[in-house]
Amino acid sequence: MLTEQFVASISAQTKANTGVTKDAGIFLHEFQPLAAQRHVFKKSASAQHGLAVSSSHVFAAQDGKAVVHVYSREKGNQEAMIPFPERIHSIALAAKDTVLLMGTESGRVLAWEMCSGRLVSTSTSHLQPVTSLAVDPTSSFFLSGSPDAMIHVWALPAILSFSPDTSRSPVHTLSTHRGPISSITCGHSPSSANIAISTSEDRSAIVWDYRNAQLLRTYLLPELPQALTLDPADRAFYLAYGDGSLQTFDFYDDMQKPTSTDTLRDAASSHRPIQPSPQTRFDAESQKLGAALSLSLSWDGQTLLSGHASGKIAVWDAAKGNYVSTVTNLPGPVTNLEFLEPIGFPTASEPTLKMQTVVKPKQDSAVSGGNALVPPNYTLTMQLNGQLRRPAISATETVTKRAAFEEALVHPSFPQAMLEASLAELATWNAPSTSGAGIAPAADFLSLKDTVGTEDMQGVSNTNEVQELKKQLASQQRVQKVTFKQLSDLREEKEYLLSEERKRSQTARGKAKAKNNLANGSTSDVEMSNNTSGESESSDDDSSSDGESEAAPSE
Amino acid sequence: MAPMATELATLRALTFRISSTATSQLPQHVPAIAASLASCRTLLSSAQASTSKTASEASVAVHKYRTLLSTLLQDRTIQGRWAAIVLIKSTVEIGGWETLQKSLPWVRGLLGILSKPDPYSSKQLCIITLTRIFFLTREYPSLVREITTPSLSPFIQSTLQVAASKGSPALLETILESFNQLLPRHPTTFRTHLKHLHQLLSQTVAPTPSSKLGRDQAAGARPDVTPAVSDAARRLYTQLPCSAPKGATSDEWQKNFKKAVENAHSLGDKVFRAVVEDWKSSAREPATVNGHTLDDEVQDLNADLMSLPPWLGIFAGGERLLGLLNLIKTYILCPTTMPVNLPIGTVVDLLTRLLSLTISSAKGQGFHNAIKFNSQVSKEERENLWLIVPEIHVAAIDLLLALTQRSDASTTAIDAAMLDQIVWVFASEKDSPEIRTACYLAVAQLLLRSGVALPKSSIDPLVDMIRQCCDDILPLDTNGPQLKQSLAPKTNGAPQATTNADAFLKAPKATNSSGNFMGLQNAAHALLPVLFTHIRPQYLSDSLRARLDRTAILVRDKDAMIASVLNPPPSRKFGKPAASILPFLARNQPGEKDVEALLRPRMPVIRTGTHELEKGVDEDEEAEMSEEVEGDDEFVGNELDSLLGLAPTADVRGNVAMAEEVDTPATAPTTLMSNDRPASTIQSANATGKRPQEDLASLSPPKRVKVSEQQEQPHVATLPIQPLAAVPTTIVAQKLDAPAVVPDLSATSQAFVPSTIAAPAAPSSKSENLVEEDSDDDDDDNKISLVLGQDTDSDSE
Repeated sequence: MLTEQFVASISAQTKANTGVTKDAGIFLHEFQPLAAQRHVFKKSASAQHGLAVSSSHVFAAQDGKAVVHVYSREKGNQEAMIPFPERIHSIALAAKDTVLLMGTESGRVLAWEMCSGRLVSTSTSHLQPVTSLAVDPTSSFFLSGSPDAMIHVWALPAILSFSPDTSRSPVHTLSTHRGPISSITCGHSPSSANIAISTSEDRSAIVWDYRNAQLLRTYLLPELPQALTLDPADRAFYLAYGDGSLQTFDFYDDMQKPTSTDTLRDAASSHRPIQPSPQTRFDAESQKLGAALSLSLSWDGQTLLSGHASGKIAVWDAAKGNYVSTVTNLPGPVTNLEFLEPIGFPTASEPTLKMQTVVKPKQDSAVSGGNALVPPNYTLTMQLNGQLRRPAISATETVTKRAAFEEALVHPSFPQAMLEASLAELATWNAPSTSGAGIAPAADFLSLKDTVGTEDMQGVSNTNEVQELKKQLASQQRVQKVTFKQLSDLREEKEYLLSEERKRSQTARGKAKAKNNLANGSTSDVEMSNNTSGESESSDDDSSSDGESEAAPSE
Repeated sequence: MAPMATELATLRALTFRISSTATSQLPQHVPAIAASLASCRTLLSSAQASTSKTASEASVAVHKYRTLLSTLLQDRTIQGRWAAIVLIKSTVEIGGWETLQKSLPWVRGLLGILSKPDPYSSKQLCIITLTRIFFLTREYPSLVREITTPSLSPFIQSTLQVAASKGSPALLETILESFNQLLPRHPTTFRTHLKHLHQLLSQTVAPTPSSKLGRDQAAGARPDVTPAVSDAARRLYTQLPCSAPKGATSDEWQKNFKKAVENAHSLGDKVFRAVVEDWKSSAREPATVNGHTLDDEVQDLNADLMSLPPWLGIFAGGERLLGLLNLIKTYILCPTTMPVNLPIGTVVDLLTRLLSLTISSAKGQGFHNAIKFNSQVSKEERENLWLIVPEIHVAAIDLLLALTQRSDASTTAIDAAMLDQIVWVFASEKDSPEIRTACYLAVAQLLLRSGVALPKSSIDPLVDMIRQCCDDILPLDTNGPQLKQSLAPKTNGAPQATTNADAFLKAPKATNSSGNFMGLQNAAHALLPVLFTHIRPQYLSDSLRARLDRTAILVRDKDAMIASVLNPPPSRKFGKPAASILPFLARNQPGEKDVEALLRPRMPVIRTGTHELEKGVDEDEEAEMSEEVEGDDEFVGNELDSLLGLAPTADVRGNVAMAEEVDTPATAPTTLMSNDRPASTIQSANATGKRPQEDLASLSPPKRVKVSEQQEQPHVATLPIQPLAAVPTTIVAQKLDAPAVVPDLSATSQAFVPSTIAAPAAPSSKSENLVEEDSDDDDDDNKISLVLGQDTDSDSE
């Protein structure tokens, strides 16, 4: 969603204001979607043409002082208070908001490079203070106007140039006006067909082809013009007058059409001043707005905003030419009014550099740098913003694609090409592994692991088997040992029993109780058979056989 | 929840497909699975609250899917792991916070893969996936704490290990690119690894593959450094200051930048030792090369300021110098987190040094200040130096382009001086297509920035380059055979082969000779429109302008043709007025939108539509308003005002007469159109008849086909509408034509145009009936007298 804001400044506090906005001088006001004051910058009093707003800063030339206040929009506070050798009557931003142009009391224009702090001056070509400045969209030229009724056109790169032999005098001088220049504005075309409009207190407005110093059209005004703004498509301009009324000057209106069709560049009509119809003028008597001091046109060119001496900011419908509402009421005469570019475009391009703080100006001492093109200590202080892409220069290649990595990083999966290459590698990766140990050590390790995996399985089972067999062997050896022991025990027992038997038979021959002894011998035979069966079973269970074999001799 | 149900079904099907496929076959399925995964976005990214039955089913399915991926990540085969990597990346992309939150096991698994001996490309994908996860968690501090912070350090360690084992260049590039993404966001984590990073980068930032040093001497020379790798390495190198301790970042950046420039200078001292340079530095003391005995070969065996590895031989030195220039360029192209001081002065100083050493100045071709040779250095080395100088110049111009791109409009002050330098280089080395490409690009850029404000003295030296540019776009026919013949003896060694039979046949087509140099072609094509738009047409001679127009027409370059039409040549005082190439444009590109806009502009006036509703009201109000105005405005005078009140209405007719009066003398020099012009301004029905006729005439083929001169006549004729003006005339002429039709139509068919054009026209006829018919002329007279009166008025002020 877009947000459209405007900035207004007042020249002095006229109303006793209450509370918070006590010494507020610059007001950041939201226009759409919700008309409300968003921020105030304090302690500033700027005259007309004394306010310039960039995306990061607000600059306000102080009325009647040789000081420019710099406010940071990001931090919302006053960043610097910069003194200059003479009074500043008008300021304007150039070169993508990196250069501040200042029209001075003595009739020269100062250019302050805010990234480097370099301050250069034009020649003193105006006889009186420079009260209005306008910069063309390419920042190649700027126009300066002064109460001496002259407009000078300057080439900015020449002014900023390091080489000492470039002229710092104007490219053209437009001297048709007969009264003090009150304001200048520049068209929106970067091409050579661009126009500039100047208004003067001789009650005329002139449309210029400033690059060729050519007068295109003269308009006669009913009153002293106070403020000027130009349609975004350069179809018309709007003027504000001291009585609070506004007027539309349509380049394509019905009055001019029969003579010049749709263009300003009809030489036939350039000499003939045009008195616009009073019907194109509109005001709102009932609102008591006071003199209009400033004028600004919204982004879409549909809504006019005018700042008045009473402190009111009025909204007008540019097409219908009628009063809509009063958007706010500031505590002083609204001397400057500037619509800002709406913010919130989803695909806004970022600037390549950010100027976080301005570098305070130091007089250009570097010209004495000798033979160097650029003085060696010339540095720009800025934040480099955003990765820029610049493929290496090549006469044969035309690569402008994004880096493969970044493409892959934001891809929903992986780019097709990358997947295919990877799959191909995956397929070939297996091949050396089956052929066995070989070329790439890293590859080998994996392949080994894979094939040896199966070998391992066999190996593991083999060792398991061996271990099991060894276990069995050990247990059987133990059984064997026990059996041998038992055998020897039994043999001893048998011999003992046999000797006993012999003794008994020797003693029994003589006695009559010999039958009883025979019965005892048969029971011991049964015991023997039990023992042998127990041994055959006890191949697994050693302890039981041991117990039995031990039990047998204990008997 | 119908879409949810479909998604659930899809996810179940996908899970089944993954689990049922043998892992060795899985990679072939994965791209398809990843593609259909995109349709499960809602399911995977929504929070699972198991309140309803479907929700619990969904959570089960999602859980199953996630566990499946986790087990796949631990799979025994590389195919399975590969599939897991790709699927995790796809899932994370669509999964949002819910998936990220549960991605910690995946991150661990992926980290594990890095240490496993997987294929390079799997590791590449794995690194990309991990980077993506780290990248996506950035927005959620809790996830950064849980997932990114603990895993980042192991990630850096294992990737550095991977990088240290000299694997594939693509893998190395991926690692560096990944660091590029992560380092600015996690400077503190990287701080502990800076030492290893430096080691890696010193080998890759400015490689010298031509170095004659043996393997043992050049420790750490890597064979796997491709241009893409070193490009990524340079970008990472410039990001390293981010990891500097807090507050020292911008100081570190500036220090490194200065070091790189200084290093380039000292390298220049070595590489350029064969000649005595004219250049005097503004900041450095001149190197005293002559005072020392020189090594027999250019070398730097000690680690230099930036601790880059040593090199030996002039070609290696050239490569190192190129690497450093690219590094400085990268410094300028890469973003910084803090404001830094970009030393424009020293960079321009370096550029001046590099660009002022040109070959021709050395050869002494007609320059009295031929460069002096250093007698201590062998001729071979000098000739080798000439071989690398163009490359160095291309790199220097590249650096200049980067500087202008970055500093945008804030360095226009250096433009004129740099333009001179480039012209100087071009004059001496234009034989090299690379130099030509670079010069075209640079001149286009500089002209775009400040071309319109350049004085003629800056434009004049460009003439040679402009002609060469036209040649490159469209070689002259005469050049073709000559080129062939002059080249033939060189290419073919045997003399009898030089007079080849082909040479006697018809001349070969000239265009194919430069067809292979696409970069050169593009650069030349890009320069052509800029020459029209950003050089004042007055500064180009007629023959040069004709050459440019001719080139644009023959190659049918729409941009250049439009640029030419929009910036017509200045009309001359004598002879035939300058012609516009508009007819050619209309013939060549009839269907293009911008051509259409040029030929038949439709610019809506501001009040389109708004007055339509009030048309009826307006008529009444107008009378009232005019009365009011009369009453209010006392200052001009009542009599004049009352007439003025009528002026707009009366004008509609009245101006016809006046237009005739004024226009006819103005267009007097025009022969053909002088009759046509006033007719076109007559706002009546017959004008609409006439005007389309003229349009037809300019467009209808049968009449105008023959000669281009004839073709142009209608447009040529319209030019001198501003005979005194040195303004772009054709645009005017064309603008005049088409809108003239629009109001005419509107006058005839009022219902058709709702705008104010039509609205006042209606009352005009009424009011005219009221006012006497004679007053038309009076009105005009009064108007003029009013002008005079106003003038005297302002004089008196």
